[in-house]
Amino acid sequence: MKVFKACLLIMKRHKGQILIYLIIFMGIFVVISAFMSTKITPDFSETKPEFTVINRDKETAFTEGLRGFLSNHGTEVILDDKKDVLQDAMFYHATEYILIIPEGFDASLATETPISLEMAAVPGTGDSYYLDNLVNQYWSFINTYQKTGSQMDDEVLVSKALESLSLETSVETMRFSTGQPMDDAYYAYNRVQSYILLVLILLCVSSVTLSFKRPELQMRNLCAPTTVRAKNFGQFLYCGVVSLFVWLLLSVMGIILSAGRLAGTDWRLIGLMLLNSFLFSVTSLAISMLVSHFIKNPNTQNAFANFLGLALSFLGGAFVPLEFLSQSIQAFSRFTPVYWYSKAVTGIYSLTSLDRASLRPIWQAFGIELAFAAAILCVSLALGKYKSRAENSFGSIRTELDS
Amino acid sequence: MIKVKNLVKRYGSLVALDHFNLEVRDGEIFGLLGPNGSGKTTAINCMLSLLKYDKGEISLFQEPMSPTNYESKRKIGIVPQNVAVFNELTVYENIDYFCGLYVPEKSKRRPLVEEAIEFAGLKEYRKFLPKKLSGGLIRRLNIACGIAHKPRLIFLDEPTVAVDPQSRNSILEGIKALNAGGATIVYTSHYMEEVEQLCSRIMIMDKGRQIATGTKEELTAMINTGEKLTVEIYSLPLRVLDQIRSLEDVIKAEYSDSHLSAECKTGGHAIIEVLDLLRQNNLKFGLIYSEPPTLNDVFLEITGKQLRD
Repeated sequence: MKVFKACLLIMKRHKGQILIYLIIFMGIFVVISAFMSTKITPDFSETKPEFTVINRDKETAFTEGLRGFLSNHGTEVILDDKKDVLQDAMFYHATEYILIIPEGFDASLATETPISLEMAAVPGTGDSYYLDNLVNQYWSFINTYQKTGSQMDDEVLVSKALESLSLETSVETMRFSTGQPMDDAYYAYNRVQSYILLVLILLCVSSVTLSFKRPELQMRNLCAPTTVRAKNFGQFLYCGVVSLFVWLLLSVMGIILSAGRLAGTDWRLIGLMLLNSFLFSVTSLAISMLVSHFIKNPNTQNAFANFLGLALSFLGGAFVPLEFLSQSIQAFSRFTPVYWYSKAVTGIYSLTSLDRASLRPIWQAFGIELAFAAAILCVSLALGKYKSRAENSFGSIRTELDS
Repeated sequence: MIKVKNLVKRYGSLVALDHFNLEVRDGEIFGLLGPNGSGKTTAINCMLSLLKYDKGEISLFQEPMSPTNYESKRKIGIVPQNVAVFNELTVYENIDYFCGLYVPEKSKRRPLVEEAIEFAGLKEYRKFLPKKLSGGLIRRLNIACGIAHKPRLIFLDEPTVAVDPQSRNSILEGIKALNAGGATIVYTSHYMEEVEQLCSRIMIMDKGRQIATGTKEELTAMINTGEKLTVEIYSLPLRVLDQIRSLEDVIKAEYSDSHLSAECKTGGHAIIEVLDLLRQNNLKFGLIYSEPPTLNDVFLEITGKQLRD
């Protein structure tokens, strides 16, 4: 435990450096959240499109019925049947949709070739498609009832058609969550968190390993009656504890900073996000332990941490969505753990159900993150074992022969 | 306490220790004296099982030494040549850490750490980080870290390198006090004055081999050089110099930079005769020095080079 306590003391002396990173990161997050914050409205108001019906034929039960049907779904705008008036109304969006019933239309309904209705609409708007669809539905029901040969009066036929049109299919929403969708800023926080997790854990781990791997201290520790295993355990325990602390700190900060916007979010989604960042902390720990073997002095420590953190985060899509990157970079990024972390973050954010099929890609990403951690840890331990051999570790110590 | 037999250590083609033998007795201060590169540190590192060696036997406390001989390691203190302290830990925390590797119980450790701080004269600096300490104080901290657990055997590898004279004296006094407290000490240095002043027995090393071993008196008795005489004189005719060279006890006489230097045979003295000759030739002289042979003379006579070359 002496080694573990010494590690904590060494870390305590580096707390200023860690604090600076935290403050910068929090500042960036506040800016991001200000840009990305979405106001989620629990209700929505129904809007009705404006339409106009110009009847150049006589008023019949069918045309009356059509007006009534359309009025249930939109707002009728009465206009004079003049070309200029109609053009101006369309231009100034006074109406979105003009339906013209041509002269002789009613009479043609009984013939084999009925006259077509004329239509003018603001091009490309959803409202025009919607109203067009309603008109088609209405006439298709009228046609159907007429063609079935029923001897109903026109009024009865129209009322039957309107009755059929008013039938609605009962739809039950199977969405798992009764809460709100996840806040965009919290989602962004989790994406960028991979960078700060990696940098902070790398700094915490390498600060201590840098001290312990100084040749004279290595030699001095080898002289002590403590087994190498006990010394390594102390350092490993420290690495685990400090990684857990960094993860907890960042997770709590993320939740606190997004607290107001996370109130209605399903807690299971937040749980998955936390599990994902925890697994990435384990991967970051493994990366840090491996990279620490190559950091030779404190001057290169920060540069190393930032370079690695930024490079992996960019490649993994933490800062820029992968869709914006080239195919070759996307293919390469699959070999970085940040890619799978980001993929899991996006997957959790887009989840609409917690069934097995929806969760499968999330668990897959989690598994790959863990596999990365295990593989990197194995390489790191093997390298550490190789370096810790007394002859090898001492080989770098300056002896009289070198002086 | 320590027995080393026929130790051979090679770094590639370079033989760092060549059939090195050593025996250190309980309670003595044993000095390893030699120039840089003579193999002193390598010998210590082999004794501490920090280095593998090619041949030979090493036993400490009557037991073969190995990297896993934790019982022996528990009784050893090491003060390495390069300062081995954590830059991030304070004076107290550093001593406590190293002492803690030997004494896990905090209650037992605390008085030992306090004692070491007192011993090294670091009481005022206990909360200082090493970077705030002077070179001499860091060396003292290095020593305190090595001796806090009260070892029976202490290896001090050039503990006074780059230390001011005042701190050096303080360190040397401390080492004597440790020895007086019952610790056996192995002390390496290339400063012959320190070794002469401190050690009860001395081994002179060069190129990985022991050249001579014994007390200071035994070592100086091994060589032909005796008293060394230096006289400040402004001019010395060659005729008079030849007369001095022909004196019975004088084996060598030189004149340069207004100084006459003469070396006598072992046990011989020529100061009276030399001064009489100068007076007879009406030569005025200034300061006169006479000194017994030093370890440097021993080294010079055996190896043909100065200890500080």
